[in-house]
Amino acid sequence: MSRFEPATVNLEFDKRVGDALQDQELRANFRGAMDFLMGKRAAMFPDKEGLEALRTQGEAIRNRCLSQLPELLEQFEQRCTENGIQVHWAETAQEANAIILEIMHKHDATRMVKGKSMASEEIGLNHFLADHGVECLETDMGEYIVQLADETPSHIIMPAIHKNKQQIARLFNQKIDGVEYSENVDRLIGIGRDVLRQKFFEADVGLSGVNFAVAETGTLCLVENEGNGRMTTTVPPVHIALCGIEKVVESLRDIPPLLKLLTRSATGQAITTYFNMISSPRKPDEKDGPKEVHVVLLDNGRSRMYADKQLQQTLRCIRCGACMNHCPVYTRIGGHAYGTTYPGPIGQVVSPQIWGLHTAGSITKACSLNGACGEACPVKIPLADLIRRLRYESNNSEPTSVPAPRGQGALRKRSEAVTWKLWALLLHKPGLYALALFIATRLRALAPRRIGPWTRYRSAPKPAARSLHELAAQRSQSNASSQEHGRHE
Amino acid sequence: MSSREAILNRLRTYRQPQPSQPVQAPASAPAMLSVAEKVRVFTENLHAAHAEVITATEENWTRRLLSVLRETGVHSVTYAPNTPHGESLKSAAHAYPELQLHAYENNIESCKDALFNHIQCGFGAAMKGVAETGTLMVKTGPDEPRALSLVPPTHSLIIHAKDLYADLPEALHRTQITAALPTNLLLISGPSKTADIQQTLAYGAHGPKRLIVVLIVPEESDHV
Ligand code: SF4
Repeated sequence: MSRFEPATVNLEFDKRVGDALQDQELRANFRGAMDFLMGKRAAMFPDKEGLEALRTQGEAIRNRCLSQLPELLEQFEQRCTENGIQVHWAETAQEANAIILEIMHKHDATRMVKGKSMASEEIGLNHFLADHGVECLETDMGEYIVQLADETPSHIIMPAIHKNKQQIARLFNQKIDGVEYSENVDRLIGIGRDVLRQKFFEADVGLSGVNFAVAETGTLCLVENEGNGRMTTTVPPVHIALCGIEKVVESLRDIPPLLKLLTRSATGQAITTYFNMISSPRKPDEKDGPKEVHVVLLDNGRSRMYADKQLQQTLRCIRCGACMNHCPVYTRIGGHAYGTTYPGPIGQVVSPQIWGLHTAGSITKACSLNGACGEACPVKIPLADLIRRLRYESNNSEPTSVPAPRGQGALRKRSEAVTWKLWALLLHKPGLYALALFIATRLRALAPRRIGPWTRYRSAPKPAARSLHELAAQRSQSNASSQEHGRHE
Repeated sequence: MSSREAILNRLRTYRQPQPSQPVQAPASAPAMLSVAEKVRVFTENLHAAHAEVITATEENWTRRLLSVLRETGVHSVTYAPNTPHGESLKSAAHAYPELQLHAYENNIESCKDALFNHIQCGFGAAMKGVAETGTLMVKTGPDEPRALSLVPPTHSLIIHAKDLYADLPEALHRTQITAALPTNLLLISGPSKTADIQQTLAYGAHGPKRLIVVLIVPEESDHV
């Protein structure tokens, strides 16, 4: 569990779901947390019309920025460079990791502190750096807990949401020297604070994610409550920001509505404790702040998403997590069952596009298409439509878009394809359909009583003795004859 | 081809034509609030975020702040020298002999240990406030070091009621700094906090546990 292994996503998905459903403690933790987060969000948006207007605005802003993405990226790069921020471009996860390692090497750096960054989880940065002798410490409390437990985040906003305080108390007691078992949350946070302060103090490099990158001014915006993001980007002498290429917005004017949508949708807060806008490294007359700031612009499949009109909507995402909080499937199976860095509805859309349908396409099964995610989404991503599209692509053999999501048709099964072909044939030929119906009703005694997993908790369906067609025909015949009868009397 | 060109080329090739969707005006126009209303809303929101607010005048704020610090056992404060608020604090501190004032005048490299391990409070200023969210806008720079508002366990800062705005768009747009942003522009809306353990709120996750806002209102105001 400690390392995200894309190769296991499709292979182990069914088993992971089964295990999660059996785990009562896990299910209680998620149920409680999701109810809490849904309630907090609802309280922030008391007025439906206001919410809709804000969502429409959020969607329009993100669409406008995406439509100018190449120009905005160039402008962002230029402004950053003018401001003294060094910009790097990475097409793949490997390339991003290599760039970050090279910066570490240039400074003989061996200690990195990290602010919360899902993109760094996406590229597997921690393990890559550990393999190259760099200590890489998560400092967001949730991420720290998850790292201590040798796990991965189970939610993009609240990484340790799958654990309750008893489990965390045990973890701290076992893993941190000299810590006694305590379920007191203030105590637990205090312990984390003390351990991590020392790490901020010593770190050579701080790595953060980016919530919004402003092209007009060359500014990196970070949203957080804890202050670890500020520590990471203020105290160590070097700051590296890892930024998905879709995060660029045109101007500062775009920030207030997006920020409002993000914090309210994510945690039901009017604003977070800190909104941190970084536009340059330390200037000569300034007393603190990193002397070097780097931005790594990460593609890793994003430009492929950009190529398809429908799938491009994925890139509007501002990573608020509301879709998972409102997903009935996520609430029951939790984030780890998906086996991907990004779980829940947005994960079902992003992951198969990053890692390919042949690797992560199966998770699109975990959806009832109820649409709650799309209704909660602050930028109106039609998540259920996109999930259905990717399901279709997983089973489709002919390319429908250029370039199509990788691994198209990978989940196609011959038996399934043949079954559907036959079904289509029957529905197209009335004669054949009537014959099939006749056989099914007359031979109903032969219907199997066990059909794989379907009948584990349900009884098998059995054809009726007469088809609806026959019953209706019979009825209209008898009606007609009784009317005839009446007239003769 | 470099990665940069490869990425940009792909984006240019596959760009989707966008219907030009004008961005609607903000969902609700900012309320035109009087200063007194802004003060009230701002204070309420800060209290809700677990911050302390000392409402005072130009004349009495140093005395009020210093006595709150003394009463709560804070006896080492770092401040930005050569600033009006820093100098006022310094001259008022003579009356509080147990209080140690440290001017933040050297680079962090030379005072990191004191900052992390000894100093109990950082004192600075906010350039603007946002009533709607109880937010303080802090423009860091030579006179407002970044660690001042971050590392010590208590953060205190001064703001004038005349610098309060109804909401964030107003505060940002009525600001000259948006043309050339400072190294680090901060919005601070309470003490550091986390709910990462079972959704239980705890303060002082990594940043200050306490936020003390000194709000300067005009003399004749009934907020004093
Ligand atoms: S898809 Fe929408 S709801 Fe889900 S994380 Fe992204 S912005 Fe939030």
